[in-house]
Amino acid sequence: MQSVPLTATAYAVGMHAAQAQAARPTAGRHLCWAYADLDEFVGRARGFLAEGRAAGAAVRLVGDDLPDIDGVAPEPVSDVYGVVDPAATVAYWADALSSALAAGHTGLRVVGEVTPLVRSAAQVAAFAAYEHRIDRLMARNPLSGLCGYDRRVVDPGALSDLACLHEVHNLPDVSFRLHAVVGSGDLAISGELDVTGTAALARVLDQVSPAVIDGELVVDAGSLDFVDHRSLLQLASYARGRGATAVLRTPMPAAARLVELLRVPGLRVEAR
Amino acid sequence: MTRTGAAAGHVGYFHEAVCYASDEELLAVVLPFLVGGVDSKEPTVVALGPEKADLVRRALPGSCLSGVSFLTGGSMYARPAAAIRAYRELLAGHVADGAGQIRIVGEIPRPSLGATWNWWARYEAAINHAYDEFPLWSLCAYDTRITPSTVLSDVLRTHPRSLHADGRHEPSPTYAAPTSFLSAWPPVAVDPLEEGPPLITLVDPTAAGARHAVRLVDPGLPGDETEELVIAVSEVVTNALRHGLPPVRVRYWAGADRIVVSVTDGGAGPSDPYAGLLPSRDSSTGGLGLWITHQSCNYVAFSRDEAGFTLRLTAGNPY
Repeated sequence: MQSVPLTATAYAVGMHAAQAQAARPTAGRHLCWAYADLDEFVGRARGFLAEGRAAGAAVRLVGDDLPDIDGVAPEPVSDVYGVVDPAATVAYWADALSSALAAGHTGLRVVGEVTPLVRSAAQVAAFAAYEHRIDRLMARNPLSGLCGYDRRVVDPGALSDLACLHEVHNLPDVSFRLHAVVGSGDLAISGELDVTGTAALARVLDQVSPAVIDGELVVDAGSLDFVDHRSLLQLASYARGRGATAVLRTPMPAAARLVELLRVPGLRVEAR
Repeated sequence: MTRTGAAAGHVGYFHEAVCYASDEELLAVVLPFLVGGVDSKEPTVVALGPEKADLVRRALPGSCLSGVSFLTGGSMYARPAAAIRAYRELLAGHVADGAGQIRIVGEIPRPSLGATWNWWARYEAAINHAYDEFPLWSLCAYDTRITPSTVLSDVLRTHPRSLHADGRHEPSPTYAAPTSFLSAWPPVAVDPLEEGPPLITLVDPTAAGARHAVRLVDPGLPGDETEELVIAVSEVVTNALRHGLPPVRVRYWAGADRIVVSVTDGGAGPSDPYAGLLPSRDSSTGGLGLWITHQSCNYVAFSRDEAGFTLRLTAGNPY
């Protein structure tokens, strides 16, 4: 199975899937599971697929060293992803989702053991961009993914950066997530942002290149529990580099107070 | 534009203490100061508590009243780092508008002459530097009837000169340059909570772990006080881990009206004498975090002993 040629733009395909979503308004979930024991990951994958099947979703399993899981045969990574082209790969999954819905399924669930795709720095950058794009598709459509990374193989720094692009991950030292939401700006930052995440925040912002609309880079921070001055300065600096103002939407009074204290150009807090 | 009055010919900040023992003594000093400012068309500012402000307002000639701005003394003097920032912005605004001199009479509110005097003494020392780029003449009023003698001694050490009811301007014989005063690290009074065992002690925690413990000991302080302390603890622990020496020990106490957190590391503490009072432009030293800490707590005290450097933070009512 080759990646489908990109005949429509990713956005058009996304809209197509979004129309399907209107009938079944179930957003997908995007999970990252880093493992050091393949059997443990297979156990996770089995549960994830079973849950999807029970809900009427089509299921796919992608990975080079995986066994059959409950009758689902693994597809080789190269068949599905080829050389990762973020837009084309997202279009591929949007199309697969449409087919699943057309066939009467409630959605599509995919387990991907994607370690072979993140061996070099260039691959990591491309795959990070892809992870965020597919996250955006999942936030709007009944497409769910469990991304497996072998922590014995993947560079620890790269693994941290990739993990924080998932709404849910299992890396205790990665304290924030940058993920898609449905709403203006489409971008959320959740968890806690302190000195341990500042550099990672800069890297993932560069990798995902979030949308700037009317000069604003809107970040939904409703599930952000803490933010320090370093991260605020980093966000402002990134926004200024894009010629934009970052708008942090958060009910946290402490964030608004820090921004008032710092008076940083390129950053505004909206209390909600 | 030139300087007027006693500050004529002076460059920079002309910082005077006024230690008065009666309302009459205060007025004898303040009225000529304010009238002189208004007559010279200088921005002329009163930052006194409500009672003293009323006293001055009633005593001022009617023709002068419109030339004097009255600030709420209590809000200007909420926290030292905030006062420095607010005053610097006020002064910069007047200079931008062409002022040749700005006159301010201010009084630190009475509660700050007690438990939290230590950081106000640091304030009085630091502003000799922090306001020196402005053509400012200020009178800092202290009522000797209610001011402890140790505070009066710090007043003389932090003000280069004093103004007396008979009009004399006298240099202070014990004045110490701000860097020398601020580097002396006077002992800090113990909060009684510290005499009991801490509720929590963490050694080499992550900043996240140190933040979490604040919420665990919170007795339910009103408003955003706990969340502001969370910010401060995060900054101080981050600084200790990055710039201090291990072990970093964080201890938490709580009473009905306050939370006290002390962070000790094995290092010598910040080398910048103005640390916390002025925002450091050098992000590599942790100075911005310490400044945010001073803006986020009701009291910050520094101390240094053979065990290392300790920063004690208080949310709620400092004791």
